Amino acid sequence: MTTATGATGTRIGFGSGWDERQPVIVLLDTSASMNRPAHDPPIASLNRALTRGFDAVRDRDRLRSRVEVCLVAFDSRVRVFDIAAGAFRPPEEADREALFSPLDGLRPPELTAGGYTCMVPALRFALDLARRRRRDLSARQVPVVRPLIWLLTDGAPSDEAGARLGAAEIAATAEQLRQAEHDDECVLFVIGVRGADREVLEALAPQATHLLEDLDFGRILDIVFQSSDRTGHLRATEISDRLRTHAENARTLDSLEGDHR
Amino acid sequence: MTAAARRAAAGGGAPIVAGAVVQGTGHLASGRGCQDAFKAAAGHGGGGPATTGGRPLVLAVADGAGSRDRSALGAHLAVDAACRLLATDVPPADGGAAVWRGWIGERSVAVVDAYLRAVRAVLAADHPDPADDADDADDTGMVGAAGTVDSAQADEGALAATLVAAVLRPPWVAFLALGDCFATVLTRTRPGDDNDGHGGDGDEGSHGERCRLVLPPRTPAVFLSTPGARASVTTLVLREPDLSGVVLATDGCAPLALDHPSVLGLPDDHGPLAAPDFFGPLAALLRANGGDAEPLRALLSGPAAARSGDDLTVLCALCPDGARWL
Repeated sequence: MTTATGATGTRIGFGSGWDERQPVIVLLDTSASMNRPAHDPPIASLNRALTRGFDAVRDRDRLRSRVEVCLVAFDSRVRVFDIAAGAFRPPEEADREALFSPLDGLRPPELTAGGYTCMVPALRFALDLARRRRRDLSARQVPVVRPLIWLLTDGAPSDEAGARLGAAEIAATAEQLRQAEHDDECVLFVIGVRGADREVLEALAPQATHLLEDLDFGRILDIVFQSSDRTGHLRATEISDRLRTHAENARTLDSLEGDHR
Repeated sequence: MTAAARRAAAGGGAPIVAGAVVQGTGHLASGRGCQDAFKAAAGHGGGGPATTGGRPLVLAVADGAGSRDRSALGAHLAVDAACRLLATDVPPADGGAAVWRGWIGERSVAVVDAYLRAVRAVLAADHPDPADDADDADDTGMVGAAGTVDSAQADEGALAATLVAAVLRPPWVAFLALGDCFATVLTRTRPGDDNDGHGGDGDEGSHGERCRLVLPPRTPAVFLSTPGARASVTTLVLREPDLSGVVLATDGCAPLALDHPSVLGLPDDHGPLAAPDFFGPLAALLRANGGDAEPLRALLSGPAAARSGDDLTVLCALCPDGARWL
C-alpha cells in the first residue's frame, strides 16, 4: 500500500490494484544481420540497451505501475520471454500466465543473433497475444487500455527459407493488423534501424513506421517506453507524433553530448 | 492550480467543502495544461437540515478530454452549468424518491443542453458569421444546413469533458454522471454494524465511517459533447440517513482512491471499491483542519500520487464533526 502523510500528520493511504494497465509487446529482431558488422554488432548494443533500459525505468513510478511488457524475439523462429523461467521459449512451451511483467520485474537474458527474419509469424503471434491479454485483464476487471506492439528490426521480413518477402506477400498480415487497429484491439509501431527496408515496413504500418537509424538502441528503448505512457486514448498518428518529438529530443541530446565530448 | 478550502456557508456546523485540482505528471511531461475543473455552490431554497444551513449543496467535478485542444474550457463550462442548474428548485428533504428521481432526470438533460449551448456560444464567438451552423443548432444538436452536423459536432468535441455532480439535501443525495469521473459516499457506522470501511461486509473500520463507491468510473468514456450524450447520463438518487460525506473525483484519481476487489478477496466481477485507507483519513484530516484543502493538494502533488499521470481532482463535502447529517 502506498501512503502519504498530510500536513497535520494524518496518514492517507492510496488504493491498490486499480491502476490502468498498458500492455506492451516488444518484438525484437534477432536475425543474423544483427551480428553485422562483426566489430560493432547491433545485437550487442541491443543487449546493453535492454539491461540499461529496464534499469532506467525502474525508478519511474508511473511507468512501473502502468506498463507491463512482453518480449518476443524472432529470427528463423519465434520465441517469447517466459518470466517464470527467465528464458526465451517457443510460444507453445511458454507459460501463458507468465509472459507480461511490470517493468521492474523484467530482467531479460542476453540475446544472440542468427537465422532469418521470420517477422510475419512473430507479428501474428503478437496480435493474438495482444487480444488475449486485453481479454484476460478485462475479464479480471482490471482497467486496461489497447495494447501496443513495437517491432524493432534492421531488415525486412523473410520466409522460413530466408527468401525475402515483399509488400504483396505480407499484405494479408498487414490487413489483419489494420483491422485490429480499427477494432481498437492493438496498435503496431515499427522502428527500423540500420538496414531496415522502409517500403516493406510501411506496408505493415503505413502511419507508424519510423526509421531511427541515427539513434542507438538505448535511446530507442527509452523512446518506446516514453511513447507507451498514457497513450490509451490517443490515435496511432498522435502516438507517432509523440514518438517523433521524443526522437528529436534524443537527437538533440546526442548532439549536445557529442559537443560536450 | 490550487484551490483553497471552501465552505458553502459560514458559521459553526456548516458542512466542510474542500477540493483540490492538480496537474497530472503526464500532462506536465507532455506540455499539456490541467484539464480538470471543480466547483461547489450552495443551492437556493430552505427546508434542509441545519448542517447544510437549510440550503442544498451542489458539487461538480469535470475532466476535459486529454487529447482535445480546448477541453479545459469545456470542463469549466460543465461544472458551471451543473452548479447553476442543480442549485434551483431542489426537491425538499421530505420529498419522495419518485420526486427526486424525476427532478435529477430532468436536470441532467438540462445540464447537457446548457453545456452544449455554452460550447456553441464559444464556437460562435470564434466564427462570428451569421450563417455559422452553431447559430442554427437546436438543443438536440441538429443544425439546419445539411452536411454541417458532423462539422459542428467535431468542433464541439474540441471542448469535450466528462462530468459528475451531486446535490446534497440530506438524507437525499442525487447524482448525475457522464463518463469516467466517480462518486463515493461516506456514512457513519452504527454500533453493531459490520464494517470494513468499504461499505460492504468485513471488519470494523478504523474511522467509524464507511465509504461506498456509488458511481464507478465508466469506460469507454462518453463526453458531454458526444452525440446522444443526453441519453448516456447516469442518474442516481440515494436516501442515506447516516450520510456523513460525499466525495467526487476525476478518473485520474481512480488508481489512488479505488481498490481492486481482489484486495478484499472478492470476485473480480464485483468491480472497484472505494479505498477506505484513502477516504477515511482524508475525511478525518479535513475535519481536523476545518476544511483546509492544502494538505489534499500536497498529497495529490506528491511523488506517491505521480503514478496516475493524469490530472487529479477531488472535491469533498463532509459533515463537520463526522456525525450524521440527520
